[in-house]
Amino acid sequence: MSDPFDELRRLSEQGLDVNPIPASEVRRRGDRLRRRNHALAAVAGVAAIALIAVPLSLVANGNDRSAPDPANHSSGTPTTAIDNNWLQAIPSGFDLTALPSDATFAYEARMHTVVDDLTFCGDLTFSTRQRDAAGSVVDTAGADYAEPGTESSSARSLVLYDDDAAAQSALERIRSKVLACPTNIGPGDQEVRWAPAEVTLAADDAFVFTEQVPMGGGLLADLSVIQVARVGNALYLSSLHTSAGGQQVVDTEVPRAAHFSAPVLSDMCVFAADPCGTPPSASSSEGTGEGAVSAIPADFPLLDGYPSDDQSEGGDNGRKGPSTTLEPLVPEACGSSVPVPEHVELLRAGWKNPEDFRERQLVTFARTEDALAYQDAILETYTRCTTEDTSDGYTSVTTVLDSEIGESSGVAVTHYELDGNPAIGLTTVHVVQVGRAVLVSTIHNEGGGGPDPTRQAYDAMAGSEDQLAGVVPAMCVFTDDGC
Amino acid sequence: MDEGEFDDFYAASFSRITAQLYAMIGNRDEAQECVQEAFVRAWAHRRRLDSAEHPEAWVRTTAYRLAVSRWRRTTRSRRLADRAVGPPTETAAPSEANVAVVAALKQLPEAQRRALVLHHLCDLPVQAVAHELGVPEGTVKARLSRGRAALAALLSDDTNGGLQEGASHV
Repeated sequence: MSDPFDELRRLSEQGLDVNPIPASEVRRRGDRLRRRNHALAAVAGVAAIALIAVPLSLVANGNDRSAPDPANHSSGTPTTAIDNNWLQAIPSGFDLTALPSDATFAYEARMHTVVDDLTFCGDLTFSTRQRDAAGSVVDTAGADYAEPGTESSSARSLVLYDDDAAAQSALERIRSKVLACPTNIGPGDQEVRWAPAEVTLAADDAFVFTEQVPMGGGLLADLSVIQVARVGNALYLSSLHTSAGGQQVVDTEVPRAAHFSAPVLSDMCVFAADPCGTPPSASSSEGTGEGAVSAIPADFPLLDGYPSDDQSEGGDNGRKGPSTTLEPLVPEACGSSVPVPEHVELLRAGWKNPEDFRERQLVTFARTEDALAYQDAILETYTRCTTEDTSDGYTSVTTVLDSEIGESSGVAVTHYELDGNPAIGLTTVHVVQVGRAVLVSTIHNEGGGGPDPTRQAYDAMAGSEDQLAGVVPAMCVFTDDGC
Repeated sequence: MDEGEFDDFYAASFSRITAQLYAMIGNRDEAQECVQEAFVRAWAHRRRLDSAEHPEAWVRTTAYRLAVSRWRRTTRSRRLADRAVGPPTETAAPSEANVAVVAALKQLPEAQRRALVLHHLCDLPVQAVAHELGVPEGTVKARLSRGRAALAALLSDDTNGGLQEGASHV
């Protein structure tokens, strides 16, 4: 037999007898492939514009009074903006019952305030039923919830003042009274204790305190966590009550209450000095998320760019989600992990096939700075962990790169080495921030093994950016300016 | 790369890349389909192709990855649904000698097979093979050496079933 390599070379030189499709058809299909990727992003953008455009007409510091009549739940107060443009009525679409998607209960809307008449050490400190010393209340709304068969309950009030100074004054009075009156004897000689609580709420100013009742023997019970938060000329009050008490319960309930309030506090940006668009009537808790700057739209294209299910090998392979119940992603490196911090909503999705594992997580926050902090925490964790020995004898080597998608983004690309030589396996963690949202996208596959890790990392980043081409543009809905 | 340049590139390299991929994966129809799909992607990402040092290597690598991906899916009998370009094409069979070499190649480990094809079929120097495979040059030399020895043994051993369709694949 002749030299087999001569045969190989002849094969290459002569080529095979092939029947390729015409070049024009190749280009046409290539153009279609390209258009498909861009079209999804464009559709998402158009949808977002439609969601934002109507609410913008409701914002009162413009002069457009074609907004739906807010009188359907207002207390008959003026519906026009006064000179300084503070909103003078709660928009009919404002949803005080909004809850994060993981909440297992629902509020019922009320016409008027529910948390009211706060009295400390004999002083009526807050009330909307009387002329408030802080200034005139121009509109109110309420919502409450009671768990059947238990003493757990919760209530919310939204109070709109003439202006931000009046709202701030009301908040300050509550804060100063609580701090000045840590304990009091209430009706029936029952002692009541108040104490400020440490938690951050997304608002112009906020004060959170607890109310508990001593039960003897150093025990406390009947805990209420009360939040008072101001955004612009609006004051939000929330009370979350449980029959239990004590520091351990406080430590659990205070952040829980903050989590529940996040969607409403986010929507309260409509009352801010520099207001966002008003949400429409759909509730954030219903999963539609329409128009709410931190709510995730029901049709958010989190799966975009993943192969379809029929491209998987079946079984438990293929796509998963989008879902709010999938286990949250917790990036980890060198023993440090970054759990999902306090947030408004979270959506997960993924794709799995042999040697191909992809996960995505979209997290929305009440404030852009919270989104940026989460993104920074993830990338910083990888930046501090450039090499790490794995349990199976390999060494992971991570490169963190700046990416150019979204408002800000970065990529951590990890390859593996065995005895100093490149090994198979490549993990890409893309962290993209747009407005109040952060997208975490991970890809793990059989890539890697290349002699040039830097080039490999850039290639991995480019590949990830391609896959996210239809997702990131749709995140414009989470910006104050919209899409 | 404008339309004319792409069309010229396509016409000049399609058959050659298909032959190279055929040698790598041992399936002619599969090779043609994957190369076809790789060119579709090349046009869709032509700006990236412009920046590639060797566009032909870009298409070849893309086609090879498509073939690997398809083969994995094929093993679970979901083959027809993923034909991205079209149905299998009817083409003339390659020569008996070529079939013998390709059949022998199929019995080599994938890493040796790719190195042999890139070096001897694509006529790439060791440095370029190392670059395309993403491994050190020493690794390429070792694979070439072992691959040549194994291929020679397979092609000289008519009684050993060496030319039978092997179980190994990409």
